[in-house]
Amino acid sequence: MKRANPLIVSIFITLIVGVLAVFLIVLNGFGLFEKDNETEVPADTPHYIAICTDPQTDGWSEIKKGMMNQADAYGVGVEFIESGFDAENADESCIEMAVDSKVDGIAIYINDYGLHEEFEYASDSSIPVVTLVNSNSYTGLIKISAATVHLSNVMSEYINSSEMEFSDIGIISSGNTNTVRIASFMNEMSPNAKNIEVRSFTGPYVFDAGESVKELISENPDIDLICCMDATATLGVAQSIVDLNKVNNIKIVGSGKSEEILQMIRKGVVTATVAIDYENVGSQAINELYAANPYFSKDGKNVPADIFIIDKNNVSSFLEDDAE
Amino acid sequence: MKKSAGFFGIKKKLILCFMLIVFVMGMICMMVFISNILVSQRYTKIYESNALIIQISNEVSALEEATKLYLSTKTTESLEDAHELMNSLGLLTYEFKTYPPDSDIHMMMIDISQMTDTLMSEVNTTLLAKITRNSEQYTQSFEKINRLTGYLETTCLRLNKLLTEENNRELADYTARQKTFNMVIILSFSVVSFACVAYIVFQSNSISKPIIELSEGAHAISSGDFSKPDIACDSHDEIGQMALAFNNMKIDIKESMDRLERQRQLEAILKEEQVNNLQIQAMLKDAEFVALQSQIQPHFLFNTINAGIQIAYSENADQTIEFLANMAGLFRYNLKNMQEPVTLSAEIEQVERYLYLLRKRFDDMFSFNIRVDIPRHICNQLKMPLMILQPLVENCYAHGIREMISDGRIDITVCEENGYYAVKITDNGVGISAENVEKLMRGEKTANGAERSKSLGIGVRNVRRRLIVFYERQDVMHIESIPGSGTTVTVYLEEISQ
Repeated sequence: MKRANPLIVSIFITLIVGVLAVFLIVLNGFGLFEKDNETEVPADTPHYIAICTDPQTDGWSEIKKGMMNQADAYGVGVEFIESGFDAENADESCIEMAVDSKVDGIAIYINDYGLHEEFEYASDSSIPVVTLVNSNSYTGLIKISAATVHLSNVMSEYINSSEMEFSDIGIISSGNTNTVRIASFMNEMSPNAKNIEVRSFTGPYVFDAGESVKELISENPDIDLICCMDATATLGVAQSIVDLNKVNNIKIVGSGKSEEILQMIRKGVVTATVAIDYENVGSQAINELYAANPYFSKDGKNVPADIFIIDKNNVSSFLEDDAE
Repeated sequence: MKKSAGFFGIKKKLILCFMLIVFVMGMICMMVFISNILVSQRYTKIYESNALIIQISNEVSALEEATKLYLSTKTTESLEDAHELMNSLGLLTYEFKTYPPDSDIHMMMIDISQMTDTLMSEVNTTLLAKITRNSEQYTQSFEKINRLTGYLETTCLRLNKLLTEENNRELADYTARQKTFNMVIILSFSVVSFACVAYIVFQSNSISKPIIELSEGAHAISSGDFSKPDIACDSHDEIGQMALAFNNMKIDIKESMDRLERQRQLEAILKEEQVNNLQIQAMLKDAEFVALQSQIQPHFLFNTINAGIQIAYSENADQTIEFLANMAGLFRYNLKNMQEPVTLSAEIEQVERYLYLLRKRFDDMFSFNIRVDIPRHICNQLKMPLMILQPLVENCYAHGIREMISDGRIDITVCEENGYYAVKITDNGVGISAENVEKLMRGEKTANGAERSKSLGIGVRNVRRRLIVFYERQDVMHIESIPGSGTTVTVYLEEISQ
């Protein structure tokens, strides 16, 4: 029996493969007609709302990252509300809306120390509320915060334990929000310092801090260590020291771990910075909300946030983390 | 016997090809059609979600308005409106409750459904408070409704914004995928079309090529050329069968033509033999005619000679008796049947009688000698046609030595030569020119138009022709002559089977 002609066979195979290919393309939709992602997440899965009406607030992105990672780990949903409400009553509206939405928990990262009515409304609705890095006085809250005393202690311990040589200390802080922390810090440092001068600046900008520190230095030329109580002050002081060409003559110990501050540490302008582990704060918040369900309690509690020092010895690892 | 083309018949091939093309093209069209439907459905779904959120937002506002109207007017219509809107909102947001909190959109939808529930609960409380005229409660509740409506509208706005962003991303993604899909469809279409065209071209060639070869083969056969190779066709279809039948037909025609050719050749040989037979018969008739012409005289002369012999006996004239006896023998020999062969001995005896009489007639002007160098019994058995030697001897005398006054000589020698028995008749006469010798050997007329030469040609030609017919070969005679010196005519005889 004659063998089939190879050309005919190849043409037939091409046709069949062509038809099958087109079939597969349509069946798989080439990804075009894929169905909506069907998830196995049950409908009664806990659903939390995280509120931060000013997303530019220092550390929010890290807190958000920590919350999302932990939510993924638990398989719960976290809805972030960052805008969309009137600025005037944004925080109140967000909390009320969250309570009206009957969510399973609320995490709030705001600087408002009031809002007691709203927290009461949530408490009445058996919805746990976690405040992030906030020292609100309402008792029914789960508060994850770095105690001001703790912050000043970490900073003073670092300065005293290092081989840093100094005589006069300058302290720069924005506004009057860090008085407790400043007082605690001065208390810790006074045995080792000849003189401690404090300057507060009122503006929100970095250059406001810069002007303030220039004034401090001109008035106190013996200052050889400046301690900054927040990130804005740290950046302003660092830029002014560079402008005044006093790098290495005046040491800076700052607060916060923004990219700019980390770069200043890498360049040697800033000696060290005290930072809160915001990512850990975020994951702690989800932990606390997850633990609060379904055993809601109106008692509230305090959860300390992790604090650490970044200096030239470990700055590279944080820069790498940021790069990642 | 008719043989089926089987699965590979042209008809089935064409049907299969057509069905395949229609199927493939149909599939592609169907896929494009399905693609359009799915894309359309997807787009509809995308915009339906936006429309649904807007509808919820509008109905929430309308519910607030209806509640406010009821609180202001306490009309049944506004109450019914409020209930209708609550039912509608319940239905619209019912599905949202089933969503898991796995995305921002779902979580916002859950928020909306829960807030809608809170709103409807608050509306019911407000309406009931109004009915029970509890103004403090419905005032307080309406404030909450107002606030909830604001939250719902804000959330709907946020959700719509999010949906729009998501839909825009999805649409951009879909557009890109659609382009890729279109490219794939076009590519598939091109590939399949190319394959179909290639298939059709190949099939056309596979059909037309053997037909062209068949046509060329038929032309070649019609012009008698059978040297072309058989038509090669591997297919099992009708064309293949036609090619096979054609090849068989070619072989049959070739065999038939060969058979006809052989038959024609046989007929030609037969015809040639018939012509030869006719020629022989014609020559025999000529000889018989000559014999008949001379039969009347020989019979009369024979009887007369016998009477003369009786007289010579009575007178004791021995020489006369011998002369008349030879003459009677000569005439008797001449009266023999021309178609009956005679022996060489008889022919030699006849020649002896003829030469005796010739010598007596011309007063011993010439001499002759007969020498036989083969056994006598062979001469007695060796068959040859009648009247072969006498005409040649007569020619020797008439054309060779008659003109000579004396010393004419004729020698007859019988010997073996070249595997034949040769009879050489030699004279010392005037000879024959080489040109005439050639013509005589070819059986043509001699160049000399003289009556004498003519009779010489006729006699030699007649003798040669009868020998050729008798022995069925061409080398029966050889003439050797030197003009002025003499001529030798050699006749080659052989034993023939009876």
